[in-house]
Amino acid sequence: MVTKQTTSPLLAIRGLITHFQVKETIVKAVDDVSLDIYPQEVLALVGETGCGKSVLALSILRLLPKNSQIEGSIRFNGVEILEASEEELRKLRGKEIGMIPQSQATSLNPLLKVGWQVREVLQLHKTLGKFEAREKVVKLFTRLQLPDPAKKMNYYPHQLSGGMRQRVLVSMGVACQPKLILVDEPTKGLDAVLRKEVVTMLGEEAAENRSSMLLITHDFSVAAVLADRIAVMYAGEIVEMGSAAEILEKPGHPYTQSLLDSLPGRGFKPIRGFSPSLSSLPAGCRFQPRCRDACPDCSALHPKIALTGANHYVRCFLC
Amino acid sequence: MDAALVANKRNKEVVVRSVKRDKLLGFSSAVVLIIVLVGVLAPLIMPHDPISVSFADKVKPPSFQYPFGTDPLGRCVLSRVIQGTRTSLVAAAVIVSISGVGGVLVGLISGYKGGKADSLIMRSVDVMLAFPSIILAMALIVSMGPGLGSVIVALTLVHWTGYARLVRAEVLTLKESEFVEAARAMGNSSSRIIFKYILPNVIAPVMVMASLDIAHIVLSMASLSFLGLGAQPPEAEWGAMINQGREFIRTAPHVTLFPGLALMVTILAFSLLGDSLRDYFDPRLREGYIE
Repeated sequence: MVTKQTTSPLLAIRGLITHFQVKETIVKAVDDVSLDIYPQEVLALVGETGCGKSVLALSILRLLPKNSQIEGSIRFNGVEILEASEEELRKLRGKEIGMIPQSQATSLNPLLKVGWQVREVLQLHKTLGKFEAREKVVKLFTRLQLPDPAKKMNYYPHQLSGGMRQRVLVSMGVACQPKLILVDEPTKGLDAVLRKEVVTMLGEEAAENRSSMLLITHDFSVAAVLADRIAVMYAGEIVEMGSAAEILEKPGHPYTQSLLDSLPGRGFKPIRGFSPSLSSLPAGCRFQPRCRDACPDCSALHPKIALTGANHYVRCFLC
Repeated sequence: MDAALVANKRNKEVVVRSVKRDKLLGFSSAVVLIIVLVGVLAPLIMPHDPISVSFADKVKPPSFQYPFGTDPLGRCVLSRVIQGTRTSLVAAAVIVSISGVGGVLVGLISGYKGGKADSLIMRSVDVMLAFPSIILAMALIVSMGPGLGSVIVALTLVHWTGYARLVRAEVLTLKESEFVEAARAMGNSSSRIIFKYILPNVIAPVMVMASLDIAHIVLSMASLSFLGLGAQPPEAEWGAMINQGREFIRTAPHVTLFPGLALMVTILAFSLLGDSLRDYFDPRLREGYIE
């Protein structure tokens, strides 16, 4: 693992707050998140379902529904995304920031041939002729080991298997060699063999294109393979962030410890309780009701995220 | 073995169903095609001039010279039925295409934009739907003066709401779908998303609706003409012809029978076509579909 922290970050998020107004209540999906992604770095965002991981990714692309409020700052390559116009955003999406969406089964237009859909990404952002774009798609498909690439271009999504659709989606995400790739739950709904293939493929693609990657997952084993750094998210907040090796070996936050202990290979111990609703969060530390090391301070005060080691941040009183 | 038998039986059922459906689709589209051909070729296949009056031949029963007989003004009923086919089809085509395209566009905008524009559009649709459509059409025609032109304008104004509602509902689910979100993440503009990703996915239900709508429009038009609001004499139109033959229904039923039959066959054919198209577009009824 190389630390690339001498250069300036490619993506710098500061105090990001994304709230949704649902009728009378406010859902705090992302609450005061700050993180950096450096060039060619893979940052894994790990957390339970519903902790705000995907909303964070959608905030970066500003693809949020109308009832959302977003505050703070997201600087990408010197551009403030939260102040960018719709036109500027359109040029970032797909070209500078690629996205590989969550479910392969429903993320492709069922009525268009897959080759057309990949070609479209290229033609939207690059001045490529139809023929050149076709060639490029064949190259992409070949690199991603899609069998019989020239023929597969004329297939509709339903004619492909799940693994092949995943490859098509990856090829769309990396088609324009984006500087940053957002990958949302790449292993969702895939079996163990396919999962391994997809993880390897993602690593290779990021290296090939010299892209940074924000990898969203709930699976520590995926993060362990790909990530340089890991950020752990709980109830809309980042509770721990540091190098992958350190998080996996010496987790500082009780939540990270519990998550690791719940892995089949590391004890298989479930975490008691449920993650809180994002519209009614517990007082004090958000993890405190489920925490095995909670002390009276934890339910009274909300801990701030603090440096505990070299680039290792933990949001806990550590009592 | 048992499982194989069950699967086999299921497959047979699916095949039987799909053959049945294909037969109905084939039959109804053949009838529709014949009706359309009659409309297109009307001037060539009419045995007599549909509007030339001949008092010597008035109210004659069907004969070799006049296969459908003549009406009270001595005009050939067959020729008038053929001419009426043309009138009905042209008017229905104009109404369906204008109200269809307009309604689809309104529905796309309303569903995609959402918010105030959506509420405004959908509330006005609700207002339109609150009136019985034939009464609303009658009011519009009376204000414009009776005639086929007024009928076309009035029915167009009444019919776009159905398409707008249908398309809006489809758009609401489609715009939240993951492939649309993915398309947005790839940097597509809103107009590209609407026309390349959403529109093709709403075409099938719109086609089904259009086919059923043609039947509905042909009937509405005949009703309006029957009431004297549509086609004006001497124009040949089925509803108007039935009205003209009304007094003679006991002595000369052929004057009303044939335009009535033409009306019935046309409506039935388009309704069946709509139904079988709906089945055709339903992937669950497709051959080889695996659940």
